[in-house]
Amino acid sequence: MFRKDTRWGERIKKSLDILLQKKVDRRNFLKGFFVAGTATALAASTKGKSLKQETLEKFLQNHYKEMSEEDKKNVFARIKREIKRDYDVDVTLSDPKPLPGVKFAYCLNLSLCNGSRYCVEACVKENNTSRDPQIQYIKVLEIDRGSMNFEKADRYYDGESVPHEGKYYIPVQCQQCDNPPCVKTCPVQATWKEPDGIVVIDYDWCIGCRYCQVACPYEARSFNFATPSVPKDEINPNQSYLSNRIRPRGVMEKCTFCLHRTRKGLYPACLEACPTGARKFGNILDPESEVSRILKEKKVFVLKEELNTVPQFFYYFD
Amino acid sequence: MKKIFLIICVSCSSFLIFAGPHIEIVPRENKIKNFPCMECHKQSLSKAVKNKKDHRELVLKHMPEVGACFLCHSKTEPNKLNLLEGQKLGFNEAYTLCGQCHGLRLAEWRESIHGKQKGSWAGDKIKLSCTECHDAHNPKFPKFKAVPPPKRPKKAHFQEEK
Repeated sequence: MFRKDTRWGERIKKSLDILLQKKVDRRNFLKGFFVAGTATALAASTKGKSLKQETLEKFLQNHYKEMSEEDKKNVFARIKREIKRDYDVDVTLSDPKPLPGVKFAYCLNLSLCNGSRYCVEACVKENNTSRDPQIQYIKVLEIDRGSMNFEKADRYYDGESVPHEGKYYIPVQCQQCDNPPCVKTCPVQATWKEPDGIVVIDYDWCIGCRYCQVACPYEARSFNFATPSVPKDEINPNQSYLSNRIRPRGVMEKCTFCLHRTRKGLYPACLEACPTGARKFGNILDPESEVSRILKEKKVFVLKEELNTVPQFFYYFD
Repeated sequence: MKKIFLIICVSCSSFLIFAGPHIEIVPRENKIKNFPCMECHKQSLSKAVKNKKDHRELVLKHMPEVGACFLCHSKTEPNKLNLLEGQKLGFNEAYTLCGQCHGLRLAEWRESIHGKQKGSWAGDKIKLSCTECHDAHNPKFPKFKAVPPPKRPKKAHFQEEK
């Protein structure tokens, strides 16, 4: 069926001839423009690393899962160059793989959380999120004692001396659901669930349609309406492709349990910043881990259980 | 002879494999302001010491109705603490003393459920002793000054006050 492939050159020549003979109307003009554009792009690819070629490389970049090791090397080098160009900072871009036999879970003791928002601050610094417009992965909600009404929760409470009388605090971030609605709704599969339970985004594959933001019942996802503004001296140089590298404009982002830290055995940044030790993190498949013990001994609950999202983020009082 | 070597080898290696992660408890003694106590309390509780008025800023909100220093501190050896049964122990092992009343909390702390930790979720852990976070004389957590709240989104035009 495809034997006539060799004749493609002839066909193009023929069609070009026909085009050239015709009068130039708008459609034909655009066709000619396209041919000329491709020709210039191809010509540019022969001359070193020009801006045009970077754009072409970006345009032709594959999905993260389909990239070969060599592709990744080229892509990472390009991203590093871009960060150097835009922010004037040298960074390391890693790509830690999910560990075998590990599934991450988070537990949070609401009796201890005092609403100091130290976790939010640490998260922003670790993950290079935009300061203006402001993007924060963790939202600390202040709720009246004895109620669980998120409609009346206050996210903007004043924190001169916390905890306030008669209030308690629920920090909400990405729940890394086992049945994630955001993944199901993505039209281009730019977000997916990794074997260790973390839902990640390929920022270069995301088209910025924000369907996932609407689908998420925990308001965990944020959209980069503008190019992220991060002060040069506050940029965290330890970056990873799927988590905390500086995002381009027009893509979604969310908490990834600091996978550039946790996949190397460290705790997430929010846990290390918590002054009360309310946060616990570990491998749910290991029966000796902290989270497994908590799940065994405490009465834990998840947020919006009725939606069947199966969150891997557990809350408890003790 | 070979058999004995084999047994030793197997037992040692199995110990190394099954020993589990190393847990380090952060020592406290180098963080206490007036430690070692013996510098002042050499002649224990003589008049010279009593007139120094060094610990007057202490607030006792931990069983204030008891208010007996020597329930926990050793009278004869000021560098040490004493358990209810009379054994002496150093300030680094103060968690054992706290566990006399707060046994359930201590058990949780030993299982890494209670308290803050550093290190790695997979391996070696660095644990903080009770008195690292709780003031032994006033163990309730103080009020914190929180990080400023997120910016409120701009109001839409129809919401603006006239």
